[in-house]
Amino acid sequence: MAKAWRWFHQLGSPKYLFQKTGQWLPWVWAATLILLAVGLYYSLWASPIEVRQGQGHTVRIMYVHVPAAALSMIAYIAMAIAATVGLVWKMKMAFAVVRSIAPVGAAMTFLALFTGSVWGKPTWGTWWEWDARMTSELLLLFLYLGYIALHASFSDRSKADKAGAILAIVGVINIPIIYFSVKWWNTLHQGYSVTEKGALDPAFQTPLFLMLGAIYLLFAALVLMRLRAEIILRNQKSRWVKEWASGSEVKS
Amino acid sequence: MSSWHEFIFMGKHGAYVWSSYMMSLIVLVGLFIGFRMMLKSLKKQVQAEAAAPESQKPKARKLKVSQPD
Amino acid sequence: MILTLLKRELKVARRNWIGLAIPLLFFIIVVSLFPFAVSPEAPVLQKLAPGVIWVAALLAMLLSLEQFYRSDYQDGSLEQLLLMSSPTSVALSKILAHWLLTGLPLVVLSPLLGVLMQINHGFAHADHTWVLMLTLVLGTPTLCLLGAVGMSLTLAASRNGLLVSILIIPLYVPVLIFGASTVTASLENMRYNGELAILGAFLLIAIVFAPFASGRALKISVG
Repeated sequence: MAKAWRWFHQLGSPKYLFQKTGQWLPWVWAATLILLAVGLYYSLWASPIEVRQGQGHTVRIMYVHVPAAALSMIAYIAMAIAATVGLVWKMKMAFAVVRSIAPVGAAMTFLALFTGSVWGKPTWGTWWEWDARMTSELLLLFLYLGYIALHASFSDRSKADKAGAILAIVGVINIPIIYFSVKWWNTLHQGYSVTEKGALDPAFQTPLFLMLGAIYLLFAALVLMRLRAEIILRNQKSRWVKEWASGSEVKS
Repeated sequence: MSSWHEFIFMGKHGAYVWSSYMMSLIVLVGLFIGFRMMLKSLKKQVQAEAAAPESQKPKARKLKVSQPD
Repeated sequence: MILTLLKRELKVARRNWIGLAIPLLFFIIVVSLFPFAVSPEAPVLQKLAPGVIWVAALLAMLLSLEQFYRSDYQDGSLEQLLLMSSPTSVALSKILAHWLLTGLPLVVLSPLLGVLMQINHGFAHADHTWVLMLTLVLGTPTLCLLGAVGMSLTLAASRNGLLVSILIIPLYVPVLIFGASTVTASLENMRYNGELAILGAFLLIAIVFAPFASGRALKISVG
């Protein structure tokens, strides 16, 4: 336990975090690419088409849509957790993590909306349906963009960090409320949910879980990349940054 | 999947399936390149700062970078 | 303590009464655009009424937020207030003042808009106006509370005005959904107790979290 705490504190040091993420990144990328290659092989080639609901090949869109949608939610929750850590323990690197998750999470949300829309056209015959999940996803995208806009509007970075952290926490309390409200409103107007798919056939589970894992890792890798840039941006004056820029290895 | 033809046309839904995958590829690779360039341009600015003679250094400095988000 | 703070807020606001009247005027003018844009026929307007009145109320609340925070922040009196008392009570007094001076007048004005939007068309004895007022009584305080969080966060930001709208409107959606659909249910002769209860629940949740969050945000903006 004491060891875990010490490690947690060490992660609060920009230099240590920069070194560690530099060590992790190649491994994360390697795992991502392997899983992605296998996942794409299954999702685009080796998996059967959907027959029961007559979706045919469009079921393959699910293998990017579902992981993107899952990550869009998880990323926001991760942002709120990092924001809480930052506010409670006054840990500056936690704010850097929040800032680094935001653009990647927003991209995932956008992809979930885009692929959902493209999937909707052949399945329901429309590009957009005011369905509970699509609508919540749209509001989630606004929350992400709101965070980025807020963070970009301060000249003082520490104020931007704290204000953004409060927004992320307030947002995460609201996500279930928004989802519940939109779902209730949706049943009121349509009486059914168009994205209700029923139990998933095992044949579709293999590619789905592979892609889920691949996108998870890809997300982690992108966040780490953004985090490394963020660390440099925030520690321009440190001596170790100058050493790093002049080409020497960063020593601990 | 039984043939290349089927792989490319995906029944009659090739446009839908491929546009989903292509958009995901474009967005994710875009982020990758954007983040990479961000780190590189930061590195260059720190180097330029270090190379500048003492007299030319501004008193207060602030690195600027276009953030790709 | 809160009473003293509230008295101060009301005193400051009294000098700026025209600034308080503008959101109310906006509320009426926006609603009166719809007959021109859509149709002056009573059944059509009646169907639109709950949504239009609620959206207009929501925008009026957003517009009025700024004046309760901006000038206090700029002339430094907010800093003084935060030195004197706890951030949560400062936030609470501002929220209360905002509701008393904007939310409550909106509630009082809403029957007039109900008349403009033909809300009682086709009903001999109807209490739709009361339902509309009741939803606004329960809903506008929640809008004040959430708006206070957004406004406090953006006080020190270099650009605002529209920024606070972008942050807060997604959070307003649940209130809008239940506010408008309560009135719609009443127009369709259905029960609406459940919706009202949920509006009340939102208010309670917001009362628990928002003053604290807003107080923290004020502290960050000033400090």
